[in-house]
Amino acid sequence: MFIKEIVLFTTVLFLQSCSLIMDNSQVSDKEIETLKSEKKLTYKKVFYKKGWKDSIQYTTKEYDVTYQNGNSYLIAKNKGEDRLIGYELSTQEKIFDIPSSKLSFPIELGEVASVYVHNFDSIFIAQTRRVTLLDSLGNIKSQFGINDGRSKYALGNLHGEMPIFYDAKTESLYFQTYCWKCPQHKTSYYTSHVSSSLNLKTKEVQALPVSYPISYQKNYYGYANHVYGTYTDSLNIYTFPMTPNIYVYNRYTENYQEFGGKSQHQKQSPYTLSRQQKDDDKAKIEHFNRATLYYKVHYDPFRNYYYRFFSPALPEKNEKGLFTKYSDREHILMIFDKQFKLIDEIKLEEKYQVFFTFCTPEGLYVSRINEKEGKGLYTIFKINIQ
Amino acid sequence: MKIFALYIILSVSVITCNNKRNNYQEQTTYLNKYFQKIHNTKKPDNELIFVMQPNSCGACSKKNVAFIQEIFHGYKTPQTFIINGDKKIDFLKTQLQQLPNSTIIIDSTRQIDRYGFLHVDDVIIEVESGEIILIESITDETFPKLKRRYKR
Repeated sequence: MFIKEIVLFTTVLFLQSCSLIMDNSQVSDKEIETLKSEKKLTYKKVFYKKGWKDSIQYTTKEYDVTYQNGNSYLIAKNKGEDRLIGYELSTQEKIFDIPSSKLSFPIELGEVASVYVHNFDSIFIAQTRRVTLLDSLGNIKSQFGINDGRSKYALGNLHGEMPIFYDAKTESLYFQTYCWKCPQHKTSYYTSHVSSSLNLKTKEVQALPVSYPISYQKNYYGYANHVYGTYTDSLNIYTFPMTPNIYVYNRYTENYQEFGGKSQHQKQSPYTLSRQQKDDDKAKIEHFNRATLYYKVHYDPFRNYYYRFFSPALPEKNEKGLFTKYSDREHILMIFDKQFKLIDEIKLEEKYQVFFTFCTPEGLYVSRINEKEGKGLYTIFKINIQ
Repeated sequence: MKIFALYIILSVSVITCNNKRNNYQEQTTYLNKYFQKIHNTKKPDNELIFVMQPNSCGACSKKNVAFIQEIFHGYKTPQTFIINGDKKIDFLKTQLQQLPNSTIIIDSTRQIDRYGFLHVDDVIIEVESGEIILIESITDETFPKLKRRYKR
């Protein structure tokens, strides 16, 4: 009898001591086959450096690129002075500059979570608890409150990777949505819907039928729980860092589809964290730095293609025995056609900040890092597909 | 039979303890390498080493610096502050220089991350007789624990 208890006790001890290791085992996800296109791709690279002197805010929350009247514009907040500035990208001319005196975003209403330029008469700025609609002169056209705390779901843009978007046909704003009452290490957070529409006329909020993939409900990925959102003329496209799949919702037909989007450079499933590591910031940041990572989809309205970056897993240590960092990551540019068939993949040779990527008629701009050359560097990928 | 059971329990305990010690052993080795390769110096044998994150929020830095000044001003064990980065460091540098028993190292290219000390928060590393005996984040949650440990 005594021996049985001891064996049980030691087994429990053993399992407890090994729980972290067991949770780190790779769990396969339901992967959808990636369809291949037979089109052929060529490309050339052109270097671009911003010529303006303003030090703009390099956060994805306070930054938008818009195409209006045949030109591309970058709209961003000025660092420190809180002015909202618009530049034409090809001429690098400043086309508007809204002074901070006209931009009143009280901190008690939350941080500026998203800037979206529908046109120069309709610039939406979302804070945690308020949306402001203004024009490029800084005149406020409308303001209304959101997130009064009565719902367990909040409208937001948690990581800056799913900005708000306005669709004139549905007269609705589209937001990332999350369960603010659910702890981020619990399954409940990942079973909630991730996107909602807010009808500006009726103020009715409608949940869209998209949630985190099953792998997020089964596993814990720490900081890698971004919801990446992209909008086209009719589609909302959702992706998540730890899964290759692409999730597509049609705003008009309300049809929902999933596509495969796996890179040929992905050799392993992303490793998972234990839910016990929920407060272990070091483990979570190391996971984000090293696990396989898919980024958001970018829609190219000028060529009707989709782009997405992938970064393969990094080993814990490099060949010198030193720990690897996020900056060691390699990035692969994946190009899909309008049916989400993979056309080709380009391995990038230099270091890039792939979070800062946008499309203009000239090509795909990707923020490039080169400390010797300074800041504001981009490579324009001029992609030709036959 | 009882001896056999006791043996199993002891074995499990020893394995668990060893794992914990190994963690700090590896980090001690890496800290030695960091001081040798990056700063051409030997890691101090008895020291409190702080890895400070200058890019974290300003309010957090102020709170942590105030806490460090309160607890470690005049503390007998020497303190080394490694400022991890070279941007937005003026506040940290000015404040930490006021501590009498301190040395400040500016790690402009954040090399400490490569030696296994990548942290989101400011961190205290206690070195005793050449070995790391404690690594702890400096946050609101750990203030009481650190206060109990270091308050004279």
